[in-house]
Amino acid sequence: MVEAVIELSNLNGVSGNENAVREYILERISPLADVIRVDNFGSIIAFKKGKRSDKTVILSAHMDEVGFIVSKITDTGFVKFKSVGEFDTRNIVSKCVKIGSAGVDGVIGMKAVHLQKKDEREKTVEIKDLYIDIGAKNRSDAQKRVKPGDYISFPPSAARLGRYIRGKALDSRAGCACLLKLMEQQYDNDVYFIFTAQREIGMRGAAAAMYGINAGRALVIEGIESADMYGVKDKDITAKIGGGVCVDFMDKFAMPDARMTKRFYELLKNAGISVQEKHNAIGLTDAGGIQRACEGIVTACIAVPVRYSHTQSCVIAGSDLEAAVNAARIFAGKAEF
Amino acid sequence: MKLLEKLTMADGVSGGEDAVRDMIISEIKKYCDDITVDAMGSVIAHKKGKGKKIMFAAHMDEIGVIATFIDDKGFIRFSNVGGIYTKEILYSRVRFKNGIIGVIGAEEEEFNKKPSLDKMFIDIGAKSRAEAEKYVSVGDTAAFAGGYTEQNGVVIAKALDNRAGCYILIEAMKKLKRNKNDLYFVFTTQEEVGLRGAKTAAYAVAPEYAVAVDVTDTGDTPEAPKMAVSLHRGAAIKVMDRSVMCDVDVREAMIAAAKKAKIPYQMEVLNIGGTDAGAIHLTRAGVKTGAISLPLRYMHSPSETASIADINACVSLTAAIADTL
Repeated sequence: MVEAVIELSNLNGVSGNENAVREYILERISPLADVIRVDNFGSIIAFKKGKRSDKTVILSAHMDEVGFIVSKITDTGFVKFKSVGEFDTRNIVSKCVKIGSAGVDGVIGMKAVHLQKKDEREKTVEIKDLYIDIGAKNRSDAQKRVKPGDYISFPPSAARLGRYIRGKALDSRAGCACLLKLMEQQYDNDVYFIFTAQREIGMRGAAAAMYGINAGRALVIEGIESADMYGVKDKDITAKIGGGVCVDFMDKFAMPDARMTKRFYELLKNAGISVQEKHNAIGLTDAGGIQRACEGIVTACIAVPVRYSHTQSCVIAGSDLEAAVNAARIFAGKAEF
Repeated sequence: MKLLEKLTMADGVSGGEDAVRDMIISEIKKYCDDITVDAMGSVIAHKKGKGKKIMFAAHMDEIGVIATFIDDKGFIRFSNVGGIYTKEILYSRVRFKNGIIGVIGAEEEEFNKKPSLDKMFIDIGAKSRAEAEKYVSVGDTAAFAGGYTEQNGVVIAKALDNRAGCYILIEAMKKLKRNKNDLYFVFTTQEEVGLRGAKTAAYAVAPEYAVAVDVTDTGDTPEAPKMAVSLHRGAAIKVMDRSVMCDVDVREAMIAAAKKAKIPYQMEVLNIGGTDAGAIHLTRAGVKTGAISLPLRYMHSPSETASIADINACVSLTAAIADTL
């Protein structure tokens, strides 16, 4: 699974432009599913018939990652851009990026430090004051390689990091890797595997994907910012990396079904799955989009803890991926909940 | 008003409405043909009729807190569920579902300013994490505790937002015998965190018309922000809030019904806040939606205050509109 998550991380799939990730996933799941379709939003909906199918279960993860989009090219050949999804802009200055389907190299630049006024040095730079340098000498030179509307992402860089894994987009691809693994086996229940688009800009693909699907319960697999890092007080840590899969009881967009979540958490603990509680109620997940589409569906949400999420260097633990797969396997396998 | 007391004294923080749901179901069983509970936990009660399909909605949930972390000494850190004002909740009592009471405290440095939520905690008198965990788990919700008082024509209680609305729907159901319209009475979940339960319930019901029954702010206390809604002046007919522009036909029908039955009413324009009407009117291809509001002072506090006469006016107006739309 570590190899799969590294490969997935290295693909570009900024919200609305998930093509490369979708193609990778479609190729791998074609022998594993009975029916596969791609909806108008670009989400993949794969159905696997159960061996003894009187119940239907949904497992879902999102494909897209945060990134940028080209908005303008200046007279001097610099590329202005807007963000797609949320960023802490302090993390993006001086980072390398890839632009458009051709993968044009760029560097995110800002004004030299000695030219910044005192208040500029003290506050966080805004995206509107940044630009991308693609080594062009003027507008017409830049226009040969880049155009407004081109998507921008961080370059592929996934690799092992000691006992962990680093790379961009791991906060979404962790869930995709889990679903790919989960699709390898047979279940008693009918299972829909949904790989959603456009989560990072408002849980959009998930809500659309649910139309026309009739299932009894859903489980969303997410990546969440762990806040588990140097200098953070225990009470402010969301979840510990390597501490197991995290069970989500509330975020800014959803309250997963409280009763099912409680039963699921107890079940995982009793089954010896490495599991932890989420220690705050922040973040956003696809659970809200899925839970409240159409007539609604009873939904739970688990997450792989991610350090430095929404940066080019997310860090996750392989053991947490394993735990997430084991947890989802129990969810999909049980007849009742 | 025994039923209102029962409803407000039950706890049902968003996402954990179970106790209120059970109470409502047992109360309304006799007065409808069919009851279902949807995936979001909302109660959908059907009172059959041959006419127009109308959905009435009142939310069951209330604001509260949710445990996020328990420290070594047994203090519980928490997050808000719905809109709470941190400077108002210090030293409040909260009650978890198992009846355990906690007191909200704050770190010393926070006393002189508006405390930030992450510097506040709940003290249940536990001496260690292990002891606290016997009573409270991460993810457990707790409601603000408060008593119930009726005096001088007002009722003072926690969670009148929106158990008063639930009470109004229930009493209207009791009044309606041999209704001609096809009526759905829906008691929704998770309104306080973003009108969530109403969304799925309205999709399932697919009504032609809808009426949300909820509470609204007033402008009748000393130096209050200007607002033309007062206690004791009757049911408020909503014109708009942040979430909805009420359908003119529904609004006019409410005014006509109020005039005909001599029910006191006032018009409400709320420039903050939203109600279930906001979620319902955008469902499927759109629903003609209006709202009846109960004027309420001190909203989202343990001492919400409403007029008993206004509550009765809302009951009468709800019942009247059910068969005049």
